[in-house]
Amino acid sequence: MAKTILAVDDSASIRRMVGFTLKGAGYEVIEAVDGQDALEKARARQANLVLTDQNMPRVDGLSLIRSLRALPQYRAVPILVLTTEASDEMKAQGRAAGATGWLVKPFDPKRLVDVIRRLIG
Amino acid sequence: MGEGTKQESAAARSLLDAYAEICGRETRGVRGDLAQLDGLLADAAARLAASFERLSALASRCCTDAYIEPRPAANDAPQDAPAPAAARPASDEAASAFSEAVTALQFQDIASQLVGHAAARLEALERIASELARLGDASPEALSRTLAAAHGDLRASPVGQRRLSEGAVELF
Repeated sequence: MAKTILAVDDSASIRRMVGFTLKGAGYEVIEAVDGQDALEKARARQANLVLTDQNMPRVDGLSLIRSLRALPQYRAVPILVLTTEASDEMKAQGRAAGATGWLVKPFDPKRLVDVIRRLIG
Repeated sequence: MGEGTKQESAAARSLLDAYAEICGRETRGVRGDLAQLDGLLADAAARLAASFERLSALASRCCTDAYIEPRPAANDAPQDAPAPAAARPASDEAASAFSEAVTALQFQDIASQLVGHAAARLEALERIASELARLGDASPEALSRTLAAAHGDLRASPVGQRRLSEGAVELF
């Protein structure tokens, strides 16, 4: 059975490119348009990995990570941040919030799939 | 306050009012231009992505058995030039090209964040001009505090990228 990835980004073009890449690699992809939407979808259906943007309306990436880590079913699920933000300060905040890794946009499809395979197979 | 000082103060206030009005009008205009640019970029990205997906589906059907021959060496190439690479399956070549396209097609999100940041900076400038006009009679210290507070509202740009090459990956 295909592993499920929750892909969260307010940019339709990024969601499209992430979906194209991950579906092509055999994963099932649930899309969410912001942190609030992601939280609702994460509660409704268990994902094996979460890939989230940082700067989003309503609930941003770091707040989403904190909320997910507070849910027992997402305590051990890998959460990757995919963002334009590249500062060490933001990365430190992400790590403190419970992120598993930090990827700076734009992503290379093969590299993204390699990282995800390392984390969830 | 002497009559001369009052007149100077009124003149300064009038100038600040005029500046705030011009600043507001112009920044609103530029913000409108930026919003239009953002919309155009989103539309272009959506169309490119749709074409990209169609081409990808076509390529996966067409390239399966085809091979791409390496480009022949130029006539003036030296005799001891390295031998050309062997022919690569077209599917490999297509996969590599599509991979590069996926990276490049992320331009809209990055550009849109820069546009949004530029608009926020303009909005802050407009706010500063408006505050200065409102505080026209205030002391230099009060004006200075207002400027410092307004400047403090400006967040650093969320985008550091200058090219669309792959970003860094770090696992914690």
